[in-house]
Amino acid sequence: MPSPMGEFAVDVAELDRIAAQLPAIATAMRPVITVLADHSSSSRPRSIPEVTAAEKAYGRLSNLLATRQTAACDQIDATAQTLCEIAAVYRRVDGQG
Amino acid sequence: MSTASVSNDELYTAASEMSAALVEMCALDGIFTGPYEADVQHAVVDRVKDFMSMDPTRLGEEYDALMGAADLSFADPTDEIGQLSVEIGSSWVGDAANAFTDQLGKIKNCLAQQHEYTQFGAYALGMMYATSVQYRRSYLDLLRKTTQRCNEVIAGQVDQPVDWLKVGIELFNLVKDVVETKGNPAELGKLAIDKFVEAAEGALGSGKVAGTEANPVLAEYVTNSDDLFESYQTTLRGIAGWLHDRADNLAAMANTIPEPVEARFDVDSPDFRYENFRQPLTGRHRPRTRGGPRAPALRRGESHRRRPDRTTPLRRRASRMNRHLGWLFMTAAALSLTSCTGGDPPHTTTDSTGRPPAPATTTTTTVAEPTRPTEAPPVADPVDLRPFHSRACDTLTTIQQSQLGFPPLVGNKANKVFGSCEWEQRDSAGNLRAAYWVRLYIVKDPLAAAYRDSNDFIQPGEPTWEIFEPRQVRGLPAVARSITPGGDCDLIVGTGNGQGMELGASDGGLDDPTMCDRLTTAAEWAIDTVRG
Repeated sequence: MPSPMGEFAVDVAELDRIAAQLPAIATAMRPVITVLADHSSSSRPRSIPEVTAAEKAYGRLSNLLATRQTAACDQIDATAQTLCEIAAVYRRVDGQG
Repeated sequence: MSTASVSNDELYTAASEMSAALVEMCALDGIFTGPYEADVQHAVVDRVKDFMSMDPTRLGEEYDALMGAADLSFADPTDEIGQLSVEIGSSWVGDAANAFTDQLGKIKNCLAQQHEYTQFGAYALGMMYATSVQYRRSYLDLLRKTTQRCNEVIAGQVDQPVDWLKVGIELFNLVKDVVETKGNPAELGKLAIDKFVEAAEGALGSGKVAGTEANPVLAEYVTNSDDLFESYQTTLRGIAGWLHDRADNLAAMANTIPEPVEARFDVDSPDFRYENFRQPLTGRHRPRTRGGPRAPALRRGESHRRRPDRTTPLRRRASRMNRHLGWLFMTAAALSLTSCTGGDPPHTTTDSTGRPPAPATTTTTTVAEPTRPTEAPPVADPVDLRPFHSRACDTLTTIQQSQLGFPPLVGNKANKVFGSCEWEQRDSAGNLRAAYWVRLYIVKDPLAAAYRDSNDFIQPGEPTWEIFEPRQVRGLPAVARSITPGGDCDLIVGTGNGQGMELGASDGGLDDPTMCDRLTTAAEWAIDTVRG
């Protein structure tokens, strides 16, 4: 037998508001991905190996940054959606959904 | 981006004027014979192209684009995430609330790291920009002062040696310090790219253009030009190493990329248990209500009724995310870094003093003490390179060039001043795809210099030359060296009597692991040709 449930403390409207704000943050964070991706593809060959090496190193850092930034933005969106679903369940249980 | 840089046109014009003066001066002394004017101009222009290998305008635009995007992307959202995290904690209580608060905290930390390292990327562009600006300026001055000297010799009015604006190798440390002495990365803010150029001013010194006759003036130009170019190469190696450090550090932080919220907190997940949302309340923990309804206790199973299938959105998102992150984790594994272990992200932005932490060193190579010999092996059977100095392209036959995979030579690519020849491969748009070159040194021993510099390092623990491999070329001592393995290679052969041969290749990212072997074969054939 499960133990009796305790009270859940949540401000559903607040959860909704927070869930609604997160996607806008992800959207604001995405422009830099375009710039980084553009710079990471820079295998601009040069006749001087040292220039090529510096370009490659810069491209590597940009590529890492672009990949991480994309993952972070995707996680913001995923977190927002999960929060939204939780708020919906709370609201339905509360008879408002 | 506002500091005026020397344009390609200015460099070309100065090179043209210098080569004309050089030709006239050498003609008076009878140094060259035949129609050599075009050859000399070609030789000088080749070196001009070396200093035009980076485009400051493009670097400035990229700096502005990256800094602009970083400012736009990170200025407010990172703070906003932190605020939302606090607000979740004040409007919701329980394990799930804690999980989401943690999740937003991880995202905030990740974005703070992103901001810091995105700025590092921009600063690297600033370093390259300053390097390009100052070396262009320095080489332009060398061209002009050499022209002045040639004209003095022609006029028979040779005065004291002329000073020229020479850039030293300390430029790298000066531009690096712009970033590293700023202290707390969070306080770095947006640096104007001109700050890097200003810092690099400290590397400007003076050199001499001496010589009272044609031959010494010509030799002086070759020496000054070579020294400046070597300094340029050293600076670029420093910047590449600095960038790799930052990229290594960032790759080591793979575990700071947020993962999906645990499935047990997703209402669509089969792992969901509403007990996870239960939290015995106390007055202290009861959240502040902002007018929204307070939900009653969920009943077990309620959340499952509306989800007929087990493939939940969260799981699909998680699966998608894992596929997306797979590449990054594979990269980290390839770099022998710690795998993703989850847990709290490290606090990497500042230490207790508010200064940036020392970069983590992930390389396993140590050169704290010199580990490579610094004296070149002796040459038992010297080869005189002088007969081929003005026709370096002839050291390899057309068939041999083809067998080596060198692109066909277009026009006369022999550089009679520097004793070199270059093979270039370009795509249909005219972009350089690969380059090979051979240079014959008749007044400088390149193998001795290579051994002397064999233990150079970007910083302790990071050798400049990742590969430094002694070889034999037809019984002559040689060394194959590379800054980054694969694709780019330098093969240097000692030919005795203070002379030597250097063969180089840059494959523009094709990463041919056999490059050094191909150059060794090329060197063997070239030595065969010279020996006759």
